[in-house]
Amino acid sequence: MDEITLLTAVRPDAPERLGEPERGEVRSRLLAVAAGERAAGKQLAAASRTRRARWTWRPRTAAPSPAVRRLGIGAAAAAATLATVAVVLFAFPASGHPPARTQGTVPVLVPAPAAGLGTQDLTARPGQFIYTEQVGEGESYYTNSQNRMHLVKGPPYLERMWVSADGRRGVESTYRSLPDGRWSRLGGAESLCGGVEGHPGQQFCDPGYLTKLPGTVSGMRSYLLSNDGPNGPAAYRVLGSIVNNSSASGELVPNASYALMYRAVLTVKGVYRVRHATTIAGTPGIAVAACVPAAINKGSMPGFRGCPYRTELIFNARTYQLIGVDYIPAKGKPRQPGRPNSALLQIAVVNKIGQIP
Amino acid sequence: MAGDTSRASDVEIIAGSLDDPERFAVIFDRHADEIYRYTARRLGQQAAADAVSEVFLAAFRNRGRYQPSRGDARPWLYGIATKVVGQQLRADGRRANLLAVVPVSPPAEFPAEEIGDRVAAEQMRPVLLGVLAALADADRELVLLVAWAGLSYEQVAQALEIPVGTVRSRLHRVRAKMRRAIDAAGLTQ
Repeated sequence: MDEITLLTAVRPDAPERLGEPERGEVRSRLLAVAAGERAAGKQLAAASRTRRARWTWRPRTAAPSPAVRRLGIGAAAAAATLATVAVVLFAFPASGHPPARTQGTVPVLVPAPAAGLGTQDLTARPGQFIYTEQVGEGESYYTNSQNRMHLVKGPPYLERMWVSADGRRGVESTYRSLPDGRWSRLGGAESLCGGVEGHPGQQFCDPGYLTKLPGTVSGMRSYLLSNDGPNGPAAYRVLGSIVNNSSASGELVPNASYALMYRAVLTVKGVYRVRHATTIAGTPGIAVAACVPAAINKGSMPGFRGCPYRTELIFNARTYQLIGVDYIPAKGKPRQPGRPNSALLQIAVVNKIGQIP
Repeated sequence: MAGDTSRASDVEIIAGSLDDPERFAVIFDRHADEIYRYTARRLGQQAAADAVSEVFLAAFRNRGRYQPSRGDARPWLYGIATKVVGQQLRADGRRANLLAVVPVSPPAEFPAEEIGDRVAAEQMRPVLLGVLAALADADRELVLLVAWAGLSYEQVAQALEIPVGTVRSRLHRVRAKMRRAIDAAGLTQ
C-alpha cells in the first residue's frame, strides 16, 4: 500500500448527503442571491467570461545588475520544499536589510558535494534518467500524546532520485536517514504516471529534462508566475515555481534557462538578491530570497512587521544552477514545520534507475 | 428555471445561468453532497454546511470566469472549497491541529482483503496525520484532494490551477515525507 492509499484509509467518515434542513437553507440562500442579481439587472456580460483574475504588479528592478548583464548570465534554480501558501512580504523589512542568517542550519555529516557541483551544463537523451542526490534537514511533523500536540523534528536524510528525461520511464527515489540509516525505496512510476507498470517507455510523467522553458526574461517570468497556481503573492509563487522546475524536484534544467529564471525572479516585487549564501552542505553560492511572515496565510496575521523568516534559493554563482534551498528564521525565531532545508550534492545523467554515477 | 436541465452539461448550465441566474441551482443540486462530504472531512460536520454555502455562493458570483474547456464543474468547485476550508481553518487557528480536527473513524466492517491494509493504516494514523499537519498548506490541499476527494491528477491540477506535472512532483515529495516519517516512527507496512 503506498502512502496515498494509507492516507485514504484514514479518511474520516462523513455523511453521504447534506441533511435536508441544511440543504434547503443553503439552496434558498443561493436562489435568493440569484434572484437579487436578476432583480438588479446585473447579469454578467459575455465578455466577462474570459476575464480572469490575475495578480498584477510593477516590477521594481526589471533589469539585471550590470555585472549580470556583462556576464550574460542570470541563473538559478531551486530546491527545498517552499512550504505553505504563506504570505510573502513584498517589501524589505523597515530596516532595508534581510534578517541575519542564523546558525539554524545545523551542519550534518553528509558526503561532500561532488567536485564541480553546478558548474557543468548537462544534457540528456530520451531514455536516460536525471540523477540527483540531495541532503535535507529540518523536516518535521506533529504527534499527539496526552492530548497535546508536539512537533517532532525528523532526522536529516540523504535522498537519491531518478527521473526519466523524456517522462516515459518513470521516477523513483531512495533515501536514508543520516548518519547511518539504511536505504529505503520510494517507488513512483507506477502510481504517479498514468502508464503501464513494468513497461518502460509507456509511462507518462512530465519530462525530467526541461528543454522547453521560455527563452526570454519576460516569458520566463510569466511562466514562473503561472506555474505555481493563482494563490499567494508573486514572490511566493515564483520561488515555488523554481522549486518545481529544477534540481530540487529532481529535474535537469539547462544553464541558460536557470539564468533566465534568476533574472526573471529578481523582477518580482518582494524578491531580493543575497550575494553570499551557503547551502546546508557547505557549498557557497548566491541566492534570491523573499521574506515570509510567521503567519500562514494572507489575512491571518494582519499588520505583521519585519521579515522574521526568509526563503533562499541558492545558486552557483557562475552557472546559476540551483544548488540549495534554505528556510531561515531570524535570530530568536523558532523554525517552522514544513520548511526543511535541502542542498544538492550531485546531479548527473545516467542510463537506468538505480545507477549511481 | 427554464428548459430541461437534467441532461445539460455543467458547462451549459453555468453558461445558461449568466442570463438565467436561478439555473445555477442545478449545479448545486448536482454537486452539493460531494462538496459537503469533503468539507465535512476537513472541518467537521458542524461547519461543513456553512462551508458548502460559501462555496456555492462564491461559485455563483464567479461563474463568469468559469472556463468552458473545463467541462465537469467538480474540480472548479473543489478549488473553491479548498480556499473556503483554508480560510475557515485559519480563522479558527486550527492549521496545526489537524489531529484534533480529524475525528477518529468509528469501527466499521471491511472486506476481508482490506482488513490488513486498514489495520496498518490505523496504526500509522497519528504519524500520517502528523505529517499532514506539518505539510505546507499547498501540499496538504493537493494531497487531500487526491486521497480524500478522490480527484485524478488532472482534476487536481484544474482545481488548484497548477500544471499536472506539478501535481505529480509535489505528490512525490509528500509521499517521500510520509515514508520518512513512518520509518522514523518505527512503523512498517
